[in-house]
Amino acid sequence: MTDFVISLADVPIAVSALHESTRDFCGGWLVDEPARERIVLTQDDIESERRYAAEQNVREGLRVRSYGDAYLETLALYRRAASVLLRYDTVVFHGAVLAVGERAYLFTAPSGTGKTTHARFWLAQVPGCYVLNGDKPLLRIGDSDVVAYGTPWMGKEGMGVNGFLPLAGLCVLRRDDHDHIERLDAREALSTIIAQSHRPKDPMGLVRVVELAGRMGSLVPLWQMGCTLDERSALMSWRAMCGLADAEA
Amino acid sequence: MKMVDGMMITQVGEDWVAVPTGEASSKLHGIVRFNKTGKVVWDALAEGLDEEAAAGRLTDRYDVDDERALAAVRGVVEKLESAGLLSR
Repeated sequence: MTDFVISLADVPIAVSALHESTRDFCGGWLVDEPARERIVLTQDDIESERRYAAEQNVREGLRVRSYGDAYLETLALYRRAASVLLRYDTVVFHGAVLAVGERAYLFTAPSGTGKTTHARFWLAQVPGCYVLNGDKPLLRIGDSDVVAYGTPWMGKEGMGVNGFLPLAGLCVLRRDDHDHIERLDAREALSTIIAQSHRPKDPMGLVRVVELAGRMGSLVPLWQMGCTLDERSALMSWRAMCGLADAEA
Repeated sequence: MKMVDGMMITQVGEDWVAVPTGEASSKLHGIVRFNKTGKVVWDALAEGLDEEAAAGRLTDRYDVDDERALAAVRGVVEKLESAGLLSR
């Protein structure tokens, strides 16, 4: 067993884990302060993750893969943390968050659409851009703003930092035969925002996620983008989302 | 027609959202949003009514003719079937 405290979205959480590697995984998020919440990870949690992973493989038409306990424990921590953080109006969201100056911009889409590629285009072309989180950021949905936080769950590419910034735009990406970006109505975006949020199985938690998704849609400018994976699309989306296109019109 | 089990429906602003919950969330990923008209249709379908009877609920409640009501019901049915939330 190993005990440590991590801070996720400014909430210090005491974690008891079976594997030392889980502590190492949380590296940049370790803190030395009193915890407000507590998570105790068990072998049952690891076995639950093994079942979820197998179900997902089957759903995607893949061969059921075998994962080690240590890796699965990091997923179990993510799932348990997601439930805890709902109490703080904070959701885990599937997307890539890019930071420019003092603002964050989130791109979301089903896996394989091109989020990471689009993120790389921004890194190459938008001055001062860096990745706040490349896979599972936390979003704290307040009364008047949404703040994006980095997390240890950074995706295969391992892109991200331990930081936070106000979210200035959320863009739903999809593949298309030409590049274009438009504003998206909050009501139209609601299903997508819910779908891309981590949703607990318990009904009360689920209701909370839906409420927060609805609130987020009213606080953050929403966009939809059809993209061809041409690197020039990055400047188009950047200029639209940070308002440069309107300013120059 | 049968609605799948394990769906939760909750109101968000002026709309309603249907989301799979519990064990259903492992198998289903469709999330459907509909307005108050769609909610009337949803309630009717959840009670086991067929399309014509569900359309009747709309004509009872709103100033709409049978044809438009049935078209509205079929729109909701199609949306639910696409999301895997309704089976025939």
